[in-house]
Amino acid sequence: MDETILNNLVGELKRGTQVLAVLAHLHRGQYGYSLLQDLSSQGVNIEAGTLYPLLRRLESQGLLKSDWDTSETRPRKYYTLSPDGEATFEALK
Amino acid sequence: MENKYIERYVYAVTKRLPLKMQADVAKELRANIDDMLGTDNPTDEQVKDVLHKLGHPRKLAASYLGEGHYVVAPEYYADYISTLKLVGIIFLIVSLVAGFISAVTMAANQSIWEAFEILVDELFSDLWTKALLAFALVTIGFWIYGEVSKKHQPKEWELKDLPELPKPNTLKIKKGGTVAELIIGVSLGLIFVALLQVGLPYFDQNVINDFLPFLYFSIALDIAVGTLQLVYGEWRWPVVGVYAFSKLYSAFIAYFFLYSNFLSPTWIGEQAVLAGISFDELNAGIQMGLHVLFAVIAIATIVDLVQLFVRVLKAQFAGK
Repeated sequence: MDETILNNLVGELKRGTQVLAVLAHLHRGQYGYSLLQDLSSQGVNIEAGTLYPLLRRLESQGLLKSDWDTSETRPRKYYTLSPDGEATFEALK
Repeated sequence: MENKYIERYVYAVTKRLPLKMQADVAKELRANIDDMLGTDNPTDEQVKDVLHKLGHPRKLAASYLGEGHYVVAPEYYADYISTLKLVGIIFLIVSLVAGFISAVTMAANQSIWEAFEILVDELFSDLWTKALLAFALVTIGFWIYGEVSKKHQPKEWELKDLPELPKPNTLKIKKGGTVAELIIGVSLGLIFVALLQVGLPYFDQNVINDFLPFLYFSIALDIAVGTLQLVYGEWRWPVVGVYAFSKLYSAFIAYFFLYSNFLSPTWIGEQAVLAGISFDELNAGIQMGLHVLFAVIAIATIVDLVQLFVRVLKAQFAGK
């Protein structure tokens, strides 16, 4: 068994699962850290350093949209699925 | 909340990202770190814990840049680009200075047109081959480094390893100063060129006419430098490059102008008679004056450029 191929496959599977999990949790708006906690409470293993860049990447692909909420003392960036993101999630399910 | 390590961490990540992403990622990263800390007055230990959860700044920046197949691993891409810039600028400075010096040596006692031809030849011959070689060496170096480091576990890192924040505004170019310099410089240049053209008795008009296109080009360069300074607003490398070129060019033209016998021999002869000395004596005195004048120009140019390079390099690598 080729370890490199196996490791690459595991990596790709992990990334795919993480994307699916993120999309599944963003029907309602969430900011980075709340999503991280949400995912970890449901046993989805994703690191903060992976999740935050992933959110930006999905946004740049048009699957998510974001808004800054500055009404609280801490400004937070909320992400939700865009119509494209909804359609993509439905297709992936 | 203010914590020097958070700011240094955010800086260490964002400085590796494209300019247009930096502000937004910095804002979001600060917000996420605040959320992860959950307190307004965290201890250094809590900060350390959260920042380590986010991972090495180099790795986090690479995640923001995206994944794919690269010759240079994304983790080292930002360092690769800054090394390329550094090697590029050193290469450019060395080529410019070497080109100007060798053109001056080779073209001594030749007309300005021949000198200029030699300068262009010296500046551009082999430039591409040398530049490609420098580029290839840096790229191969980073490729090997990336391949080797893939096989090793990432090193542990400490908060104190984070780069210091750069001092703001050290490279700012003052707008007012630039505009004033531009107006005064261009006006003086135009007055000088106009004086050369009105047919004053001191000048040898044939020699002067040869220089006019080069003097106009010098004024055009001054305008280009001023415009770049206003557009960029700070000493970025393109501004430094064009500025260095314009200063070296001016010194080069000054050298050939001062040693071109631009003074009319008839006029020198008349002055010698008036002063009661021989033509040769007066001419020797004038030549001495011109040597001193050129020495002043050369030294001022070198001091100005060295100071500028040191300032820019200091600012650029303060945080490394």
